[in-house]
Amino acid sequence: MLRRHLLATAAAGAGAALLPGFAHAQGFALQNPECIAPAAPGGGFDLTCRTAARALNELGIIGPAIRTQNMPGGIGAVAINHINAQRRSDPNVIVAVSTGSWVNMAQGRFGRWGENDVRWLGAIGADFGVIAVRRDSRFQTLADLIAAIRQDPASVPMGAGGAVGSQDWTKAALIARGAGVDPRRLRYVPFEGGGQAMAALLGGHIQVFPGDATEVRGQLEANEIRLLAVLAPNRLPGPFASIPTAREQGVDADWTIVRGFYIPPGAPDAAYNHWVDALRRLHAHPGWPAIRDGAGLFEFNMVGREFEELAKRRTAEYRALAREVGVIQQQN
Amino acid sequence: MDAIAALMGGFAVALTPTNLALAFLGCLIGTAIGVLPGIGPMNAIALLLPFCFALKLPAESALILLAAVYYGSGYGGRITAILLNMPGEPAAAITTLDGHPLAKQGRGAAALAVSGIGSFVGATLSVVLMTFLSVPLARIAVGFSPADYVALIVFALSLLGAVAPGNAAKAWAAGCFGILLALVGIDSGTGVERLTFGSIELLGGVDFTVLAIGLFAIGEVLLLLERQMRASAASLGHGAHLSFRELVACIPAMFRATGIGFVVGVLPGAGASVAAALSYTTEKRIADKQGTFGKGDLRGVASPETADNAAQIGNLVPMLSLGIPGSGTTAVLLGALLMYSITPGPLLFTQRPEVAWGLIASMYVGNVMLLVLNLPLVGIFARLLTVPPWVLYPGVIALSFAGVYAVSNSPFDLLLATGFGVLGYVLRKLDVPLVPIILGFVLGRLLEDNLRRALSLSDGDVMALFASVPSLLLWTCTLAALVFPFLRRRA
Amino acid sequence: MRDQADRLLGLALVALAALVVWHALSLEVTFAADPVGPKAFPIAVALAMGGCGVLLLFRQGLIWEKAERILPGLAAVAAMAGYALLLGPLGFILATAALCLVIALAFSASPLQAAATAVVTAPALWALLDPVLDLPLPKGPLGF
Repeated sequence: MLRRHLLATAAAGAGAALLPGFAHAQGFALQNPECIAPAAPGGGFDLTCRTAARALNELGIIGPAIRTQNMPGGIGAVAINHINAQRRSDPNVIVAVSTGSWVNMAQGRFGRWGENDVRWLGAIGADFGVIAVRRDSRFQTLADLIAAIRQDPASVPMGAGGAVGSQDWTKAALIARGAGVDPRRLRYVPFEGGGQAMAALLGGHIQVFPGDATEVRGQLEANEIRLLAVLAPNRLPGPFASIPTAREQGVDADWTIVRGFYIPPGAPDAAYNHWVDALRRLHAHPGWPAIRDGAGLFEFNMVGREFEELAKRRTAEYRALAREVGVIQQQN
Repeated sequence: MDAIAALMGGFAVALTPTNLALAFLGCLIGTAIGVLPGIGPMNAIALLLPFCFALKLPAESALILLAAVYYGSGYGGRITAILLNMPGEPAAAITTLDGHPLAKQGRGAAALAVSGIGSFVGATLSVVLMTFLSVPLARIAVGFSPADYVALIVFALSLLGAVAPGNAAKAWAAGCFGILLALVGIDSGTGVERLTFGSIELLGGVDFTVLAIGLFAIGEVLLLLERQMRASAASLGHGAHLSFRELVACIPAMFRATGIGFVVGVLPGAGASVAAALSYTTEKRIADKQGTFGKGDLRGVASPETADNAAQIGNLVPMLSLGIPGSGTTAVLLGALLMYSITPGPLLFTQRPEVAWGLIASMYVGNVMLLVLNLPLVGIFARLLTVPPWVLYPGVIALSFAGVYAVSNSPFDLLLATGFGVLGYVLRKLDVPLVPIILGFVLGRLLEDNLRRALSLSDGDVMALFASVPSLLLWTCTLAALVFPFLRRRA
Repeated sequence: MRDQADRLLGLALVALAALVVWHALSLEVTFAADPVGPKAFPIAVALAMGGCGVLLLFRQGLIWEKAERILPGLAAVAAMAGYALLLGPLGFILATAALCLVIALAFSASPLQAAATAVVTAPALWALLDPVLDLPLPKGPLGF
């Protein structure tokens, strides 16, 4: 009760001060909107949902409070199953999605559901892959690392917070491919979360940590680690500004961790347009960047058709990569 | 003595009326979360974050509130573990071993009191260690290699026989079963699915909460139903209170448990359950001269509870001094800092001392609050046993199920819990101990992961497992733990 | 038969171990990133468990205590399983009230006592989880 009351007050205040009225696309109105987070409270998707819900309400873009429902299981597998089995045409529900979901979807881990079984709405932001080494590492540039991998992949132990086949591993695989080396020959050690991989890097147990920009920022600013490259299309702002992209160094490795949403496949166009419009207005709102930064996300404004194309292109790429290296489930 | 001056600055932050009130609120919520089986501190912190923004709390106040929820939860888990044989959080599973027998003997209040004091001692001594040694300790902790973790976990597992009186074959079988349960899901080394049998619900593995609620809460209820509440249920009894002499007898156990708990907690790859298990089994080896452990020994309650709280504080050390989250809960605390535009990491102490030191100071205050809060409540908690069973047990089951469902929205999890409940009932009837299942579950995954990491890093060279000083020490301890009982039996 | 309980347990453990070993051997690993692979550890643990099971086969078993009452336990299990399946369609409050009602009756409450437990517990839990902690729970056909 308290929370909703406070939210309503905040929303009313912000709405009056900053924006005229709420979004009204083609006379469609949301009723008890919900965001499904395929994680327990505290997980990454939970943050995506709660951040977007808070921002959309507080900035006065969507009137009724959006509530977050948690549905952990298989990085979104359980949620997509639920949507397709029980809420195929519900216009009031959005589901959080990330690049990690696409990786799993491409590997056939979402049961029989794939990228054509939902309607892709758009992103609220992104994080980017980085290649981190300890400050006293023998590698000064990405080229050094690639030369070492090319010579003997087993001599460069690397580790990150995800299983072989996961998005963390894929970053390492992209670097290996850039070196012309079969990703299967990498010495990749999976850890339980990025924090433990960072600990192993600082402890000298692994030499390279293909992590995410947000999670390494503290250690970067304290000069505990160095970054050989950011896996982004362009240089990142802030403390990352001096770090060259992989592409600048001649390696075509881009790893954008998109955080966004989809709605059920049968949701009407009016609802789809309403949500897309809401995300577009969110991106344009002057109050949004501060909230987005707080959630550890960089600017990544992609919605609607463009986002749908990205989702389909990425899943196709990951499917090809998974086939190539052999981490794919038998049913596909 | 920079640390003392900085700590004084921290107290200036922690002792403002608002922050005192927030710490108190956090302690209350934390204790409640510890009691609730379905919702853990990680969930609670994520759910509280929006409140912090809505109330426009400054960063240090928000962190004081959220951290109090975190360490307060370590005080709550013991209550249902002791009184009802139902652990509210993973580490409290060990507490049932001696806590529940004590409650059955009518000494539930004494067990609650000693565990409350133990929690306070463990937490407070750990905060002191943290105040002065945070950065060097964190540096040492990251040096702990996968091979060292293997030695640590094998040592903990070698003591598995110690937690289960009776038939050793049953205890070991139970431990192995727990390990196998932990392997369900995607294998991180290769990405293949193991033991999921095609279920997408099992891709992420079996949830600890679901297992614990099934084996302990539901299993217990089914047994009570069969026996019409005779023999198993605890009672209030006379002479319930803790005598001064009993407390003094527990003090060495508390100090040892603080040491073990804090050290294990500082390691980013272990956790409070490992600490509680290791502390209990070590204590049993050292102090159990009359064979009273497992039958209701107060030291058997003090040890795991002290270690649990010490480890929780220890877990904050790598988070605060190196910006490394060792567990899901500390990762969420780090996320909260980020939301306040504070970069968590090594610079936290210099850039935002009011946040870092305010938090540390508030932990001194918070633990005193928790002690003051918990001791007078012991009598009231113990009164739980006078609630008629037809109110108590429907409430416990509904609370567990509703809690699990609220954070997972998964009917599958509830069915799984019911299945584990029937299993827990059958295993009790067969005299198979349940705590080894929990230990195997907690340690099994850690063991396999670290073993494979270590051998991967050494390119399959097994000798790498014995290559460092900590690992050699731990292997020696393991050998001693395994051989010593035989020697004693012959003598 | 009742004094063979431990032997049955041993048999069950051996069967479970065999299942795990069979499952592990049937895993198709297209490439192994580490020297150990996903099969060795579960097989080792299952063999250890099976070994314990074999030991139990040779034991003079403990006596399986016959249950004094079976019906209440069965009713409780049925109520819990039913709760899992009907929570969605019935809504949280109705389903939780039904669960409490059955378990209270199983604990020998009078119908009035059981009803009182159910009527108090279900809305109280809903109030704690849904509005206070902001965790949405399923609504039933009656709108709550």
